Amino acid sequence: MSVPGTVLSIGVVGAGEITRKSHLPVLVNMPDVKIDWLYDQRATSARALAGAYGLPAVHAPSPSELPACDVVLLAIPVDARLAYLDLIRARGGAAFCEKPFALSAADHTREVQRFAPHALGAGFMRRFFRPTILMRQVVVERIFGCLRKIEICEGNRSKGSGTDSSFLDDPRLGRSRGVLVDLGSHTIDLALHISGATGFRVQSSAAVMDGAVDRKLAASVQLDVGVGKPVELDYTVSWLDRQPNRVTLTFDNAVVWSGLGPAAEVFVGRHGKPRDLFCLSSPTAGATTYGQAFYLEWRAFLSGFRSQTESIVSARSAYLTTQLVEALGAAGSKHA
Amino acid sequence: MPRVAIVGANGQVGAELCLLLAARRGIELVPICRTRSGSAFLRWHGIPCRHGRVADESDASRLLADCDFVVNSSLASGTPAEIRGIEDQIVRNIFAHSKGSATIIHFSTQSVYGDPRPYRLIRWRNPYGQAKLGTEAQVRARSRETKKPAFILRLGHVCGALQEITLSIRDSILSDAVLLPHDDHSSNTVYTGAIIQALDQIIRAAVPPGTYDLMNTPAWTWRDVYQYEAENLGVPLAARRNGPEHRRSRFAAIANQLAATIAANQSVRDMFAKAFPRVPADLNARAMAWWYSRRARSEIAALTVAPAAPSHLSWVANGVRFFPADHPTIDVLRSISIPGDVPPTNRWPDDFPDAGASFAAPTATAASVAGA
Repeated sequence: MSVPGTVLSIGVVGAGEITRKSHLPVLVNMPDVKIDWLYDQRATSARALAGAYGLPAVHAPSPSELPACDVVLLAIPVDARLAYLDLIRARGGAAFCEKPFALSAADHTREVQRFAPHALGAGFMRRFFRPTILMRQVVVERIFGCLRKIEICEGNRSKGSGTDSSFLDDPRLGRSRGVLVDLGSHTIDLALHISGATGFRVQSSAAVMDGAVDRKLAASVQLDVGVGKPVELDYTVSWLDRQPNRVTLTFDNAVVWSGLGPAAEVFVGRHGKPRDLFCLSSPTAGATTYGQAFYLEWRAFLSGFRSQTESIVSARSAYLTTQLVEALGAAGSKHA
Repeated sequence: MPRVAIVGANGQVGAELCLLLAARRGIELVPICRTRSGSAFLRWHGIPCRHGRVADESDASRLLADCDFVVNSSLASGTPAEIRGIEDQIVRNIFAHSKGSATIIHFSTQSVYGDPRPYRLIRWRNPYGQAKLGTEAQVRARSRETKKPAFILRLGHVCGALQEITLSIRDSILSDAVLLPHDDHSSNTVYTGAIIQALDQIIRAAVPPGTYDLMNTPAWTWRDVYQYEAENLGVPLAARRNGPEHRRSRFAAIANQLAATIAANQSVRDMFAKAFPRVPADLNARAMAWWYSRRARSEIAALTVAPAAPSHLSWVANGVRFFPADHPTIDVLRSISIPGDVPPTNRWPDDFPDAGASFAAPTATAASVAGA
C-alpha cells in the first residue's frame, strides 16, 4: 500500500505513439512519480523511446520477469493485456489502461472484479476537457431544463497511414480494429458521462463494414438517466467522410453545443435559431489541451490509488461505455 | 495503357488525385497505401489499392516494378531525423525498384522558398522546407544515376473538393465570414484539377523533365479562389478587406519590425527609462503623451473583437519556373469533377495485384543504386 506523499514507481508497457506523445511527457513532469522502467515486446522501440526520455528500458522474455512497481501503464492493444493484468494483480499493484478498456462487457466485468476499484483505471481523458466539464455542469444543474437529446458526430476520412504497421491492421488483434472501438469509444463515453446515464436501449445501429472491420457507424440510442424521460442519443462516427465533429445537447429551453477538442468553446442558443448564440464562459477548471487532460487523468488516478478511493477514471466507471460499444457494434454489423 | 502508381495515395492530396485519376480513361491507376486502415476511403470508393511500404526494400519491387509512372505524394512522419531517413529510403526505392523505363514525379512544396511572410529581409527556411529541399536534391541525384526522368513539382496550397483549405474557404463563404487582404497578389494555390492536368502532360511527354512550380494557370489571387468557390456554392461572395490599405515599402516594414524587436527588449526599455530624467522636460512630456496615446489605442482596439484574415492570405507570391500548363486552370476545373457516389456493389474491391514476377527483378542500374 502506498503512503500519501511518497513517490510512486511507474512501469510502462508499450512504446507506441500514445506513450511517446502523451503519457511520458506528462509522467516525467509529475513530481511525485518516478518511471522505473519502460518495456515493449519490440526491444528496439523500447530502447529508443526510453533513451529519448532518459529512462531505463527493460527487456523481459515474459511479463512475469518485469520488475515490480506501484502502477503499470498498459498502453498496448486491449487484446494483449491479459498476461500483464494477471501479473499486476498477483503482485498487488495497480494498472492504468489506455482506452478501450475491454472489448466486451463480460471481459470488463471479469477484470474489474479482480481488482480493487482504486487499482484499475481506464484512460478516457476527454472527461477532463473543459467543455466536457462545463456541459456536464449544465446538465446536472438543469440550467436550461432537462436534457432531452444528445447528438454526436465525429470523424473524417482517414488521411495518411501515420504508421507502418498499425495494430488496427493486425488480424491477431481481432475486434479492436474498427472505428467504433478505436475512435468512437471516446465519444460514447462522453455521451454517457455528460448525461449521467445509468442504462441504455439501442434503437438502431448501422455500420459500413470493410470485411470484418467497421469504418463508419450511425446509431440511435435511448439513455436512461434515472429520473424523467430517457435522453435520445443520435450518434455517428466515421473514418470514411468528414463529420461536423460536434456534440449538441438539446434541453427544454435551449440548445448547447461544442466542438470535440479540449479548447473548444461551448455555445448556447435557441431551438431553430443557430445564429442567435452566446458563448458560455465559466471559471470551471479543466483541460484546454491534450497534455493537460492526460495530466489530470493521471493525477486523478494516482490520487485515488494513494487514498485507496475510486477515481473518476476507474475502470468500473467505464463499464457502461464498454457495454454500449459492444451493443452498438453487434447491432451495427447485423445491419451493415 | 500507362500504369501510374501513386505513393501515399491515401494522403490529403493523394486521395483526391486518385478519385480524379480513377475516372480518367487511358491510364491504369495503382494507389499504394501502407495499411488497409489507410486505404479504407479509396476502397470504399471502389478503387483497388496495393498495400505495402515503399520505404522497405523488400516491399518496393512488388509495389512498383510494373509501373510506368510513379508519383511520390508521400509525407513521412516522426522526428525530423526519421522523416529525413524515410523520405530518403522512399526516393531511393522508387528509383531502384520502379520499371527501368519509368518516369518519376516527385511532389515537393513551396516551403523550399523559405519564410512565406511578407517583408522578410531574409527568407529563412524552416526544418520542413530544408528537409524538402534536401529530398529534391536526392531526387535529382537518383535521376542522374538511374537515367530515369524525374519531375519535381513544387505544389502551392492544394485546393480541391476534399482539401481542408477548400472546405474551410467554403465554410467561411457560407457563414459570411470572408476576410481578404488588401494586397491582392498571387495566392500560390493549385487545384487538384491542375495537378491532374500536369500529370496528363507529363504522361504525354509534352513537358521536359525538371523542377517546376505547379500552380494554377494563370496564377490566381485569393479573391479569384474565393470567387470560384462562391460560384461553386451558388452564393454571392461577400468579402471584406482586411489589413493595411496601402502596401508599405519593404524598407519601412523591415525598419518597423526591427524597432519593434528592439523595443520589446526589457533591457533596452530600462535603458531608455533611466535616460529620460536627464533629457529636457518637454521631451519627457511628449514621450509620456506618446506612451499614453499608444496604450489607449491598443485598449480601444481591444473593445472590438476584430477578426483577422488567416495569415496565409498575406504570404508572398512564390515561383521561379512555372509548369507550362497547356490550358487555363479554370477551363480544366470546368471539365472535370469528382465522380459521384459509388454504387454499393462496387465498394471494397479486391486489392490491385502485386507486380508480376517478370517485373520483380530490378534492372542492373537500379540494383546498383539499391546496393549503394
